[in-house]
Amino acid sequence: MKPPGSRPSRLVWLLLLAAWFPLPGLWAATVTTVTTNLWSLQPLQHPAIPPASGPSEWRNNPIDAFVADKLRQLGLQPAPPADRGTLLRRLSFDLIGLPPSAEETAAFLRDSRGDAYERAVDRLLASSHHGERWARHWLDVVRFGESQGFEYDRIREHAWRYRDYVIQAFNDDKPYDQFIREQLAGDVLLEANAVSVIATGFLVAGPWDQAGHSSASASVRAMVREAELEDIVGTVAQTFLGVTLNCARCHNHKFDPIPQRDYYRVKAVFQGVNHGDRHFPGGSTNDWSYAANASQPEATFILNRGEPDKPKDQVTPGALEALAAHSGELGLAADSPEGERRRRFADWVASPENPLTARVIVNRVWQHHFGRGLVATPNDFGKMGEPPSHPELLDWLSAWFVSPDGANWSLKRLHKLIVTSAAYQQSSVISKSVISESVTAKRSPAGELNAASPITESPALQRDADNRLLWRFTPHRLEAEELRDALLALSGELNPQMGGPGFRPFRHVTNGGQNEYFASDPAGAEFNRRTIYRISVHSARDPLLDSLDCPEFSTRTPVRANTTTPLQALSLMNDSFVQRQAAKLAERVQREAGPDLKYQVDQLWFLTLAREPKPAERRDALKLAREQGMASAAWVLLNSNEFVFVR
Amino acid sequence: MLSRSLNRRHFLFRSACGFGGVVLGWLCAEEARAAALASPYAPKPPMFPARAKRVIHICALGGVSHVDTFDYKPELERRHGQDSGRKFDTFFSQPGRLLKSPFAFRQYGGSGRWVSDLLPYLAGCVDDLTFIHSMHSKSSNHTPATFLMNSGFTFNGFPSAGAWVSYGLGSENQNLPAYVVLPDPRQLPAGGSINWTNGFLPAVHQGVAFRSGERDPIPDLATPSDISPARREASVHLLEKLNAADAAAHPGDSALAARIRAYELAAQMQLRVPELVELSRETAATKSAYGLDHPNAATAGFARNCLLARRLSERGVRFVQIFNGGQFGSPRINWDGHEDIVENHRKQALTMDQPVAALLRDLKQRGLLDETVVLWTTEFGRTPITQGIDGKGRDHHQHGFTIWAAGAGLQPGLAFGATDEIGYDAVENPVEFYDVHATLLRLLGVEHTKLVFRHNGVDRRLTDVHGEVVQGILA
Repeated sequence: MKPPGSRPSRLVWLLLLAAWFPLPGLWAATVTTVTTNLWSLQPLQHPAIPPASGPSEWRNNPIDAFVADKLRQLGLQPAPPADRGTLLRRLSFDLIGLPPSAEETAAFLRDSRGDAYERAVDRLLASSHHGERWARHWLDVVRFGESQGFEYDRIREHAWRYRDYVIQAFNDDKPYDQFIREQLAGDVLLEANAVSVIATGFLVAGPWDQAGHSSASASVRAMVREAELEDIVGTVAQTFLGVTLNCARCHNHKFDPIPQRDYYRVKAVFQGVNHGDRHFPGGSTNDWSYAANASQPEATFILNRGEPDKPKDQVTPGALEALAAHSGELGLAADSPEGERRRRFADWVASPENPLTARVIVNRVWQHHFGRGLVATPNDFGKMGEPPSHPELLDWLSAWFVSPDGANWSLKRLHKLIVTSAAYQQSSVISKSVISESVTAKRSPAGELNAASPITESPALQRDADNRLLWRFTPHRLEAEELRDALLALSGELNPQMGGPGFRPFRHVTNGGQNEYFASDPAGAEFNRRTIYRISVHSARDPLLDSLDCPEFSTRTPVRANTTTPLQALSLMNDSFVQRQAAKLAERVQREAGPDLKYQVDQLWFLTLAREPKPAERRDALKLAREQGMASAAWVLLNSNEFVFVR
Repeated sequence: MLSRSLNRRHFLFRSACGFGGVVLGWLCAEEARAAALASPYAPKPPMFPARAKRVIHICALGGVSHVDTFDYKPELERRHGQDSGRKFDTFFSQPGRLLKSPFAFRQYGGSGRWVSDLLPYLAGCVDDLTFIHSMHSKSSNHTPATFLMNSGFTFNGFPSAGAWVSYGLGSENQNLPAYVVLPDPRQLPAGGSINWTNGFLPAVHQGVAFRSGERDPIPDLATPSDISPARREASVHLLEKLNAADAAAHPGDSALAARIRAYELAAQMQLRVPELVELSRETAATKSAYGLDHPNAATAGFARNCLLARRLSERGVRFVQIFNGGQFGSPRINWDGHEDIVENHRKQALTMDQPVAALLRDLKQRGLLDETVVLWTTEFGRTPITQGIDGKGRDHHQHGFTIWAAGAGLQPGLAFGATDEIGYDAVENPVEFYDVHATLLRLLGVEHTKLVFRHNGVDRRLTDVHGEVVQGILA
């Protein structure tokens, strides 16, 4: 599946060897030659859209033409469209992170207009819940924490403003190039304002070592600062460029055309940035945000093995050298003003000429719609990353995304194009024909099924078990926040209050400036807000969310793990929060469906699974509700696979 | 193996093949295949023959003074009160004068290892211990140094050794977590759960911290008290039925079978964990040997954790981590003896000495020490000089300190490496935590350079890009 021209030539291998055994002269002379080979560093291609093929619903969207073309090449058929209840549930979790209400489901199932689905897409994209859902994806990538981490782990009382900034940006469909500029340089832009200053919370969302910074030892302080800058530089490069620049702190990058010098040139751009609270323009004296506090930095030197006490050559601020068609030479002198450095760097990133920028964000958006990126390693578009499954599609989408005639940097237009594709609307069920084909093929002469022929022998599963080519929709377990938010939505307890300081579901003990946090489950409206408003304190973990793979706050997490564990089962079985929501859900169906248990059961099914119960299910649930109460039936559904998976 | 496969068959009968009417043969085969993979703690074979099956890691936090415990320096006695003649870049930058150990050193056992009178119980175990006197670390700052000791990195968010071992080897017991943490009963360590994070590894490898002294040490372990057994049973019955029918309607989705299996494992855990922490079957002699009846509550609490560690190891838990010491506030409840080394280290030693010695003896007596590595570490040592000219305490010191290990695959009674005559620098066979981690993995049958996890473009390792097995301590 490598794109054409991605196979490294012999020359490149030599150059890679040069990276292993760096000879400064060789590097300077050859680095631009290397750039012609790594696919992600090439200028965006503008591939022609393949001729439409496949079923009629696959003929309306350029995405489908690219996907169908690949399927055809492998002799695979796309799945039929998902049934409408399933589709609305999928779309709703995807775009707003919440299940559809019973009314929304009923209305959608009744709506026979040709554009009913498109209307649902527009409605959900316009919902203020959309930003709350997609901000979570972004905060994962940028390692957003609301405490210092390390020894003291003190809470950052004003860090929530950055979280709100991201939510608002997604709701407002802020053009992505502006979103980039504000986060990298919002405090020093010519048009700097309160919003853009708050945006620089991005740079300082990582941990900060209070004890190390207050050490009397200069060498301790220098080490701590160097690690902090690596966190900032690494996050900038991975988030916007999909480049693991942090790997070049101690030596030339071992796999990608990134000399050690690049790391220090970018470090020089951000070297003036410090952590801290600051006022923002127009705010009152009590208005603070945790954001970049910049000052003019000292000279920047390449450090031997990345060690602060081993300076080598001085560098000027700059960007990556390896993009041949988009020079990383920013025209900055070694002593150029701090603000000018970040402004120019931000312009370099937020440029339609930067092929990494567009590819990386398009890939992230794709990933969260389909469960997997076209590039499966969204923070690494280098040689150690995975090549794209659909390189032409990725480039077509990227070029379209930045083009004034296309999405013009609008994320909502990109979302809409993707979710209205037939590829997205496919069923996740592995079709009977796919299975029976393989079973027939594997029948032994005696006509018995061979026990050793699992269905993974089917053509689709055999050729593309991971569904990289999208011959069906890949189902996935609800993420931690989706699950918790869905429980609140279903129980009717969800507090829709947006923004502001986060809720703190823990007991907080301070001891001489140090902090201990003990998870708890306080009840009350304040704690029934969406999970994105839970304060992200490094050492205040939540057993329920942890068990559902809620990531470590200090780790850049572009792809969450998706595990299934006994501790997860225990949480969903016994956690007091789950119990409480099950009880409230039972009360709700009793309230809404009236005294007849049968209607209550139907309503329970409709709310949680967006469908009616089958007769046998209804019978069983009625029996359980009669004997053990409706809360038991609610508990069963909230623990069921059908509820926990999005299909 | 037998019981596990029976268990699985039982589960399959109930959940996949027993319900849902028409369930084809291939479905069962597929589900069985998925279920076999479904235990997240499923044991994985080591890369080469393992000397040890499991680990107990005791972390003494705050920085244990090597020159006051295991690294005897007669030169300090001779030059007591003199200027060290060395440059000390200490954390608080108040370098004082050379300070002889206020504790008396003696040689013990057949091996003749030196131990101070601070640790009389452990002194009796020296013939089973393997000392590394030549440790040095990258940081003299508690939390980065502790992170380095546990995860191989000085920054937040990298998986701890226990998480790596869980990831690499799974567990021998599917009914208990593979990586269990027993925090100091007085307080969590600084940084709390960051210390046992799975980092970027899947969540199942996160350390499961037991709450001290509770029947339900794991959150959400117990069925809520207001739910009767009959109610839970009837509910679970319907849940299994729905899940089985759903799995039958979605062949090929192994995640469904995995989730069904997780509920089965959870039920097992609900039975096994309370039994594990129930100590009434332990003899009075055992409890007393550990110090569960100790008048000092901190000692008794830590003793209980040491006894629990044995019970966890006995049941095949792969990695048990015990913390001795909490945060760095005041009053000090760890080994961070800046103000007064005698007062601080006496207090800490009292909590740790007897229980750890009892754990070693208990493991040995039960034959468990032959297949378990007990690793005792501290994040750094302490300066051979005082903090402040007239100080009575010692500052952090990362250039030379002592750790020890005991058990499977190690040379007992060995003193490996050495610091210089005043305990400043590791001069003979210097060892870093990368090397300790590499050696630990080797004992478990794992090549440290091959235990990798691809994360954001890097093949991450516990040992980063460093680490050499300390061959000199292996049996």
